[in-house]
Amino acid sequence: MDKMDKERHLIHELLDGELSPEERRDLLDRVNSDPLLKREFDDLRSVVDMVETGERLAVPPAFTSQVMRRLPAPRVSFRKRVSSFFFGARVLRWNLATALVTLCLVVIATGALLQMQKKGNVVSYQSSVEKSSRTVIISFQAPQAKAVAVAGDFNQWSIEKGLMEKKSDGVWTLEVPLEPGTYHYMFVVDGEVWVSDPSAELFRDDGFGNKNSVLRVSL
Amino acid sequence: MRLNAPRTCLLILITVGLLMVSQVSMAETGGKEFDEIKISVEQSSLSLEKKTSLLKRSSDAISAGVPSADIAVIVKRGLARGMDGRGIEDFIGIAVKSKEQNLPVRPVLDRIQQGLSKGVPPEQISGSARRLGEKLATADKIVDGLEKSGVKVDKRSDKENGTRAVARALEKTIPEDMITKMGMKVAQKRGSFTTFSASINTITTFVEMGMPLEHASKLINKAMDKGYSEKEMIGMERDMSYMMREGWMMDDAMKSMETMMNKGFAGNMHKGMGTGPGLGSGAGMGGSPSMPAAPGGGMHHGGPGMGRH
Repeated sequence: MDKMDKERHLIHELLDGELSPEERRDLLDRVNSDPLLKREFDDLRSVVDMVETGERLAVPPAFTSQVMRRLPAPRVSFRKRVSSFFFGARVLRWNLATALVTLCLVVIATGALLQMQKKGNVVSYQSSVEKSSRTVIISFQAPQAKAVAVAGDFNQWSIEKGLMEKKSDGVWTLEVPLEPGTYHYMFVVDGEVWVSDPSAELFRDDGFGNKNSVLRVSL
Repeated sequence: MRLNAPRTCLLILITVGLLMVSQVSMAETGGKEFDEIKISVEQSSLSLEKKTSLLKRSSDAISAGVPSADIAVIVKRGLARGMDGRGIEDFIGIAVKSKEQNLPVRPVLDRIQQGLSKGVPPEQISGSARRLGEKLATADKIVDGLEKSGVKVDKRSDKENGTRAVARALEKTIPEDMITKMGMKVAQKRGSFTTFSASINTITTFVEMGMPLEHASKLINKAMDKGYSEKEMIGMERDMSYMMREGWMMDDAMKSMETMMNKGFAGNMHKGMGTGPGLGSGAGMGGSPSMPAAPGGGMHHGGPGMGRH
């Protein structure tokens, strides 16, 4: 390191306030006596003054990414671009508005999905009955009947869905899978005569002047 | 590639949009059931105008949230009975009205389907279903009021069951204020809609059996004071039904029930009252061991082969 470098180093230390009063006095004497050193000192002091008095600008957010984006893009193959699209790491920047919009969309999507599920259940009503149901065997004695069906709120009062099978002793039977609950039903003999179950424990008015039999299925 | 917020939102929006479009499409078509409706309507002898109108009504009902399977049953059954398209549309309209009022639609659908299956004249079905819809609307208000008064909702279906029970009671002309008083009693005892529905169903069954309203009310209030459970209320219905079938006079049956309640028996009187030989000679399998089963039909629970004939 030559003499000028040494002096410049000392000037830096002086401006940084790192010299002792004695060293400071000696250096200032030398600066005042050497025009070259004086010029160097004045230049550096004006730079320090500028830095100390100048306005401090805040670094904009995502400064690095903005700088990187302005750099010329390297040539990348199509395959690499596709691969980067699917597997490349991403930085997702959030603000409160974006978060709120996303939350709203998630709520709407969840609601829509639940609604779809609800409608789906209605459509698959028949199969859902079979999932967690217990079997109820319905029987009706009518040896002379040509056909017997059981119609109730468990089969939408359908005669076709409730056709019973005749056993050798003249008893008609049908196995029905039912969830726990209360059901109303009647027997239909030969497709036209509606009769209540004489062995039912309870009966309820059907709203048309007849009595439906009541069946309770418990767990 | 950098994923920014607007692009993320756009992607989510597209996804949600697609979901909603598929949902609307599902609701509008009603899937398999709507195809069945279309086939039935197209094969019917209705005029083109009536066919179009009925299909539109069905589609609108499904879009409103009435289950497509139920609409299919009503349309097919109505057409099979040779009904005019307008009559069927009227039925669908009653169900849609209940749905739009956010009332339980199942009882209305059940009433219509039942009437159609049983061969009840269309005007009678329509009148009965419409009255039921009106009772359900009144019942819904009563039940809402009771919930605010403190009747507990244990399960999601509790309120709907309560509404159904109240509508049934109103159909039997049980006064609104009597129902509300019973509900308030349940609320005071910190009871739930399960207890309330059981009480209302039991009083309605008693009235259906021919018991004077004031006597039915007295018995149910007594049961409520004693803190009877849903099961015990159902037992009371069974007991009364049993006594009626045995040929008891209503006065005697009421006195007997009151006496048994005073003695502390709750809803299992028939177990000690039966005089029959057991299961009887018919095919009936219902009832408790001491109850004679009437010849005819019967039901039993359990797996295949469990029943005795």
